[in-house]
Amino acid sequence: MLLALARRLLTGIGVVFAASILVFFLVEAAPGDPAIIFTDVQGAADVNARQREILGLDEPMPARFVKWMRSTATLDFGLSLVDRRPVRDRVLEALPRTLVLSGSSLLLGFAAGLGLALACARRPGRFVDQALSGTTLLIASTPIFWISSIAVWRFSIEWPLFPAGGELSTTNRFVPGWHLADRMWHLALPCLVLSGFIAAHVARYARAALVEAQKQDFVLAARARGATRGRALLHHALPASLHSTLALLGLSMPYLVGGAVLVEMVFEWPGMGTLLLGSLTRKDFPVATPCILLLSLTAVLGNALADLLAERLDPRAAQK
Amino acid sequence: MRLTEDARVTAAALLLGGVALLGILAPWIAPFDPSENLGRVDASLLAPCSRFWLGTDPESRDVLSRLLYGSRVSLVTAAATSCAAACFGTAVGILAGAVGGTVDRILMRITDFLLSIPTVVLLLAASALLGKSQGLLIALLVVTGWMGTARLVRAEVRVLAGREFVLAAKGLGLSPWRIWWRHILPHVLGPVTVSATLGLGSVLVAESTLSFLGFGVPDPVPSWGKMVAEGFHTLRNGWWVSTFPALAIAACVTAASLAGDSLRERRRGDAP
Repeated sequence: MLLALARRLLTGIGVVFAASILVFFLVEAAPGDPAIIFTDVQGAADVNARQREILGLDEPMPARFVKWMRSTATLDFGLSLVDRRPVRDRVLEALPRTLVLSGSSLLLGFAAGLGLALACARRPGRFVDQALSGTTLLIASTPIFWISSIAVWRFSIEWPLFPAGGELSTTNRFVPGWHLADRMWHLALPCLVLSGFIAAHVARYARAALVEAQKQDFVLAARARGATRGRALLHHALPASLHSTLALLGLSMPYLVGGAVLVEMVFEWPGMGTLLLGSLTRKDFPVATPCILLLSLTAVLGNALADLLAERLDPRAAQK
Repeated sequence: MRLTEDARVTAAALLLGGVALLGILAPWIAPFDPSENLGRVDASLLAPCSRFWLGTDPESRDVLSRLLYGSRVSLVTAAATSCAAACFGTAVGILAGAVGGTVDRILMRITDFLLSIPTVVLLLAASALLGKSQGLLIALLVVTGWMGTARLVRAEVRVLAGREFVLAAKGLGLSPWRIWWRHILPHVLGPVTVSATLGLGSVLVAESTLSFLGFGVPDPVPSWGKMVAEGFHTLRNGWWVSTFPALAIAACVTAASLAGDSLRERRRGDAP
């Protein structure tokens, strides 16, 4: 268990470094003079030279590469080009918010998706299954950014149940617990949208796994011993199917992180996704790159977590 | 069951084919110029009516015409990307599976790496850095979309490598290229078709996402994702601007997933 965890962590670090190399060469391959792209100022030759010096672009490529790798290793990415704050502060501010939103949505979405899948798998091919499978396929196919926009419009503007974005209200009432309630109120809508998106995917994986598991001999045997359809499903098919559902969930983790990023952007939830988009549009690459690296790391760790959980929940592993 | 499966594939193919046909015929059937401002008076944000079937957008352009022209960009990008990614993935898969050893290890490391980072994030960064063009967009989507096929093909090739007909071909002294091309490739085409069909949907979504965030095809070419973005701020006054392109994306992605799933089921049924 610990060994597996350590191996996963090592893989994660490897991925971060590989992603970091990739980003470095992307920046290298960008057309135009980096000094001008980064700062958006076309100045006289001496001004540009000064900018190059500030950005460290006057050094040869291999030297910059070494420096870049060192900044990845020490997690020190210098200052933001836009507001001159340390990149580390800005990222550390955004990271917990992303984790709160994605974590709560993942839990909620997983539970909801599993419930939907159980309702489908009770009688595969019948009306409930057809209707729910169709709906989840449709939700999984609809671009998440549009679902988010519609949600903002319906439930924040047309019918102002929820705030339209952000993380906290600008006004603060000095009532105990108000701060927390305000936070939850801002979290609710993006969390619901993201968990709906996750639930649609989980439901599709879990339904397939449950239908497959129900064909197994041990489920048939349970039914033959007189277990009801529901009992066979809940006590025999479900534990056997969780393993493959979780494995698929782990594999789609990068995709789900992408979805979370988009939800953040539409809801202006001040997490990593919004930070990434803002810094990319302002060409603030010192901020954008750690965002890319951390989001990749999140996907890898999410995958690892799902895999480890799958191993723990595998009934065959429990036998040993 | 077989009949309904076939009906599904047919319906999905008809839908995708129909959309493609509409895109091809756009110059003849679109009622207006997609990027023309129709507002001699003020024609911005008109609700769907008999003249503008799907309404007009904030810049007084006809939504239906933009939708028709937009299907060209979206579908051409999706189709070109899926084909190219399938070809590249197949090549990598065969190379990794058939050669094995270090080549296999290196190729699979790269595959695993690209599979484990969020595609949207990488695409965003790349298009923000490298600029906007449809060619570049397709290239980026191919770079981030070939890995699934490669893994699938590699697994298939490893199984095939032990089969009698491949061993026989080897025994006859055929060159590796000939074995790959004539004896292995035909066997992996089936699974590759399935994964390319499924990939079509995810490419459509990826393209529209990038366009939505402003990193897709350059202006003034309309694409569905861009139209959703343009309608984002006017949802309150004109829901039609972003709803119709979003529905178009959803319909095409659903069709692609249905077709892919059914094809996969059918292959599983046919397998010995």
